Amino acid sequence: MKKILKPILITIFSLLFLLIATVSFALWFVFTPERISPVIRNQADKLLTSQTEIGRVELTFFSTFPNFGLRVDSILLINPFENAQSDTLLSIGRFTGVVDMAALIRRNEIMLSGFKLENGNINAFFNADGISNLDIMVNDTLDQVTEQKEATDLFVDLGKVELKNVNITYVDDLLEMKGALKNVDARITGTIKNNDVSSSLNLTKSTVSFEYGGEKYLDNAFVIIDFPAQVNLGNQKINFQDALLSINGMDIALSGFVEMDTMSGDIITDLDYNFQSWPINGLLAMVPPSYQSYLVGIEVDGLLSSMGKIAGIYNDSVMPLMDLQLLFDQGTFTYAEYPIPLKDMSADVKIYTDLTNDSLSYVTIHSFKTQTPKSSFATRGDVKNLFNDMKISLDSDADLVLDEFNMLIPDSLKVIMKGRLNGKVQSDFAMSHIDAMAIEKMKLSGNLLARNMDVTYDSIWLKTHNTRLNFNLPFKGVNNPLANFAKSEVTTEYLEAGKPGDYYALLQNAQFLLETSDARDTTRIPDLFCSFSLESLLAETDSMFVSVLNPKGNLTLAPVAGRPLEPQIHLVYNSDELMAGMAGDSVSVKRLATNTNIINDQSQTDIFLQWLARGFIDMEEGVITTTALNLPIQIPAIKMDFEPERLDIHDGRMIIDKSDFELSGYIKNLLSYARGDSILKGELQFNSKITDVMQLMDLTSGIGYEDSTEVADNKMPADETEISSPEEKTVASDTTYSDPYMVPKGIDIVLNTNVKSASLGVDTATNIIGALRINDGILLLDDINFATEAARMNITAMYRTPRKNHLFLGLDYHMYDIEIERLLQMIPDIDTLMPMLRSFRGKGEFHLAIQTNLDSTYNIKQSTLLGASSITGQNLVLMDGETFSEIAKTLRFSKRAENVVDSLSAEFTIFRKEIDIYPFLIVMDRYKAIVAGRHNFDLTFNYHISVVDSPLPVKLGLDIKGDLDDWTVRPVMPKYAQFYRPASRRAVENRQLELRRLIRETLINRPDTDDQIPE
Amino acid sequence: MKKLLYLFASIFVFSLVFTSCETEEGSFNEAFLIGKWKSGTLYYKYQATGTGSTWDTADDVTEEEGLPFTWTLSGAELEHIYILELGATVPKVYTVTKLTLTSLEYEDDFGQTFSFSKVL
Repeated sequence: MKKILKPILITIFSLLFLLIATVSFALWFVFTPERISPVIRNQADKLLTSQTEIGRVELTFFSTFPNFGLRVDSILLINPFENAQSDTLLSIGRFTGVVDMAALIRRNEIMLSGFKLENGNINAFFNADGISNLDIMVNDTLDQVTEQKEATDLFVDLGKVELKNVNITYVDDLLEMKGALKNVDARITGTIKNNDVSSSLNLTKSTVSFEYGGEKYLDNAFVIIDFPAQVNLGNQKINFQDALLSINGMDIALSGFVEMDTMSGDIITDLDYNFQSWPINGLLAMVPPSYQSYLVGIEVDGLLSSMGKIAGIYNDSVMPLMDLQLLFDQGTFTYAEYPIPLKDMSADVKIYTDLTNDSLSYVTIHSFKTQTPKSSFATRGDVKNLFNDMKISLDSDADLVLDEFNMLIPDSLKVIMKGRLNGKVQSDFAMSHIDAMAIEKMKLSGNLLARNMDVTYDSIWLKTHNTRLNFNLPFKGVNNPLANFAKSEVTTEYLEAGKPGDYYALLQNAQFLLETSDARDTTRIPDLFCSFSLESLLAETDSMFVSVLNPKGNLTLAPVAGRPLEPQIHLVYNSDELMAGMAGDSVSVKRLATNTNIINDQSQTDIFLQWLARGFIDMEEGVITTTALNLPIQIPAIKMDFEPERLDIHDGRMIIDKSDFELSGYIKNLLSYARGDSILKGELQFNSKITDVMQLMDLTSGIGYEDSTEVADNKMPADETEISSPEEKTVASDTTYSDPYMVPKGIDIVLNTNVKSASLGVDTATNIIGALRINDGILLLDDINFATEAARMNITAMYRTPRKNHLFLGLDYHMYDIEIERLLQMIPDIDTLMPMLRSFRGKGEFHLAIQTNLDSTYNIKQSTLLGASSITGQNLVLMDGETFSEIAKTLRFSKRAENVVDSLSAEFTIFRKEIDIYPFLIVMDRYKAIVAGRHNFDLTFNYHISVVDSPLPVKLGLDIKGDLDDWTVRPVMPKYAQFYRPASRRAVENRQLELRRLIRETLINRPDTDDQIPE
Repeated sequence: MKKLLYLFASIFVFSLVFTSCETEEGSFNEAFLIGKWKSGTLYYKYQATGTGSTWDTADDVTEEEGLPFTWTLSGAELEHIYILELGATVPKVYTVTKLTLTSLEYEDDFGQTFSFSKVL
């Protein structure tokens, strides 16, 4: 093997030596610069029209191995043009061309298969007429070449063109473009075969500047280009694969083709591109100066990557379809006007569009994330209908530390926020919805969570923690099918708000659910459902407060059928302890439940009539404290149904001080009463163990009254002016009087009482059973039976209050087994009416019918006093010893006789200041006497006693006159015969019974439509 | 005996004469009573229907608020009957001593007199 190899190697090296020696000889002795340079210069003069200066030309081999090369030390082409950047078209320090040796040897033509330009300048210029300084070729030459090429199949091998450290400038006054490539190191290769051009541009080192329309778009940008291309000149199609373009380090890879449709003029593209990690600040650095103003104050950075495809036809009306994927990472953003810096911005966005058709175009945001120093935000979604009415669908997450955003709020708003708000929001809307605020066409949903939130607006503050808001818009109503606009749910651990010195509110562990129709529709009341559940609620203002434990319920709001602007409300509510207070009044309730329907009627003028309610209330252990009452009202329980016209009390219990009431029954005509169409009617069972009557009267006094001045004025007689005596009084305004008990007006309430014990001042009555009726200013105790310590009693009483200073009191007493002494203690006024009763002690039977008017302080108006009375008794003791002694002495009583009246039966009438004692029989000792006379309220008296049966042999009479301090007893002839029975005896009682029945019938048997009782 | 007869005869004649004069003096024209009468602040009003009312303006009582009564004038006996609203009646009987167009006077059984002037 070695033996064979050795001669071969010797042969090869010999041939190489021979070849080198031959070439060296040719280069140094045959193709010397002195021979070649003139040839080149002659060729240039033939081909070029510009001034040409070509330096030393020499043939090279070793530096262009394996080809021979032609090296020119300098080339200068001068083609002066007006406005051109330079007269020099080309200035090259060294030109090296690869020589086609066959053409040189055979035809003595120097043809280059490639060339290299080093250390030079090229200045291309097009003037405003489109004429270029590049146009330096002799036309005949070009035509000859073209004709030669057209005559046969064209094949051109551009060989390799290299530029090294060449500066190229380009000025086009027609297109207003300027460009400059500095320090160009480039390699260009290519072949042309008929219409097919295969080329490759490799620009490895250069800086580029570009100006268009006076705007500088690139300024010394570092450029790298690796652009292999296949061009079909016939189709005007350029095809390239794995092309690389880099500007300032931002690389973009391109593959595909661009084709010009020569028939239609369309440009057909199918390009794939890809670039990675472009620095945003690098891109912004390339923003033309005139646009830099938009970036003042903005500092943005990050890495932008993209890949995609641009395919389709481009013409005046059609754009190619672009399928772009944009990736943004490590982004930061600061803006002087937006003092919150953004960081860690990233985005993954797909853009699919032909820039024309909404049906094809969309943007998909796979993700967009960013952070502030304390907060973060992310969204994803898509955008459709890009060119007409953009439709946006986003799914966003946010975690916001509110403190950061205070600096965004103008100081003038005086808003300070603290805390954290995070959550998700889904949105689906069109830009037209935003413009028109057409919320009903949007889809919005999400949930937000506020933690440790503290917001202050001026002096108003709000604090909350763990407050969650879920919302959906639109929403198909579940609890109210028509409440289909929006739904929101709020849960909060606590929420408190307030304004110092004005109000304060606190909600703890609260839940709200709200479903509503579009509340912006001003043509109708919205359909709304709201349920709520709170552990506690506290609200205070400077004048009122309310505190509730465990309020729960729901509220439904809807328009009234046929009246869309008038709401109807359904409220279901129950709570544990409720306390409320205002202006010294307070209410507390241990448990409260209600189910209420409220209907609004705006045709009514009275606010009370505008809101008609029906439902029930169930309340336990309530306490009402009001400044109007000295004592709180305790309400152990109330259960009642209510509706506009009727109140049904199933269980109503109240305690006031020592009094307790248990009410059941109904009250009707509520609405009619409020309208003034009817009086309030009702019948209630009134049970009580202990009742303080005075307190009850205080509670009800004055309802339905106005100052009676007008009424009194209307009632003035026509001849009132005739009453002109100076001592006469005129009717004054009610306000000048004290406040007596005024019986409620406009109501007709019957209380069927069953009171075990009732106190009236110092008196106490037990087992009171009967009806108490309040009828339009009249209080009627109708046939009430009760017992006191002094007597069993039956009473019918009427108290009427036409005006404050003219009250009416009528009494019909029937007392059985009455202790006269106790009677006087119980009803001291009896002593005034019948002072002679003070003279007796013991039990009797007492009947009294009396009426009078009272002034505002309950003083009797004596001019109106009328009465009739009957009293009977057995074994009464005459108490007045002095009187008895004087009478006994005159009548010669037995000394053994006691001052005991065996029997007494008498009638009295009262008229103003006069008490007339009708003749009655008194039996005492061995005497029977008829007594009659008059007793006056000034305590003067005038009695006559006729002794009708005595041991005396003569009939005797006595006249007793005077007053208690000065009176005389004078024997006279008796006025009355034995067994005299006054005609009026018992007549009082009979008439009382008869007329009382008449009163009852006029009160009770009146038609419902006319409940007024005539005064 | 004759003296005794004269005495009885004189008494009889005197009685007749006296009785006759008493009857004429105790009759009064009822029509004079109709109208409004006043004594100080006390008023009485008599109507032809046999009803009337009384009030005292010193007690802040107006005519409309006056106590109603029925009245009869029989000879010199003037009877007022007051009916209480809850029943019972209170009769008051007076003996008229003077009744003219402008003046009314009467007294009761206890010698109390009343004097009124007509309110024109």
